[in-house]
Amino acid sequence: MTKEPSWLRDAARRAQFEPWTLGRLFSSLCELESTCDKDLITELQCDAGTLHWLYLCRAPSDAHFAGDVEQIARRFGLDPNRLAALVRRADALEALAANTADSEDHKFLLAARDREDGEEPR
Amino acid sequence: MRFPTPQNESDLHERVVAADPVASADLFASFMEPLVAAIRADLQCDQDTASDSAIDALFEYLHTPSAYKQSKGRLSTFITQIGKRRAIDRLRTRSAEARREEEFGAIVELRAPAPNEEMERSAEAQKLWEKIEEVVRDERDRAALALILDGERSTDELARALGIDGLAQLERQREVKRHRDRLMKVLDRLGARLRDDQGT
Repeated sequence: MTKEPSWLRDAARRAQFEPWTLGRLFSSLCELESTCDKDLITELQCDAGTLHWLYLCRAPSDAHFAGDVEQIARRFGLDPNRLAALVRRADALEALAANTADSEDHKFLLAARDREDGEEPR
Repeated sequence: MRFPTPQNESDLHERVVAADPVASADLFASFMEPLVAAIRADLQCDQDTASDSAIDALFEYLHTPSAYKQSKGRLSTFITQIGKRRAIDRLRTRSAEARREEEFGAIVELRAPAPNEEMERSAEAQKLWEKIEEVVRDERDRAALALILDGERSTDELARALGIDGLAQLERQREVKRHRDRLMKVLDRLGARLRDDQGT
């Protein structure tokens, strides 16, 4: 299911406003990390059509996280580890952003995310 | 293209209720084309109206799948009814907007300002724009602000003025919103300052 019908892009865009979708989670991640669909496509190693289909999926639940991720990844031919890492990061950043009271703290979190593994704080 | 068989519809509904993570994507894949065709055929509306209304209908169902009672009929009938309702709303809104524009046009024609009134307004607007130019130095910001003040709401037009029309769609939308919010704050601050100046 990777071909892109004419309505898919509009449906994917609309999915960003539904709280239960992967589309909302991914668009929130992009907003928090100042990235875009292209970065998600690179990270998931998929094409734009597949990403739009993903937007229409239900975000994995905490209770069945591994199974849900596995099911989505299998359906769209994705690496489940990459998908799981992306969803976890989005969840974590959203939770942190929700608890961040002022914009200075918010910038600090994004700066922390920009550091490579093992890199010392600047 | 036809709707899924009653059995397939029923299976899909059960998967949606059970929060199967790919059921919603499967629902779109199986329902969109027949749904759009059904809305178009029944209401004789354009493709975009039918497509947008079909998308709305599927999300409405996915939002509250329990609203569908299997005992009362097929899922495709239930969703098509929602889609048609949405399409009718869209068509009504559009015709109301067209009527308002027509009425507004007639009023504007009747109330065409006298030449001297027009000149005074133009001079006021020029003065105000000069104030804006004092605080908004960037040419692109000025171009975007001129569009905003002119009532332009198109993301693409604003993106072009801001020089960010090369960005991917989602990013472009986000950036345009960010710039628009920033420019509106600049206007708010300028407005407050001008009010203070007038008060003193």
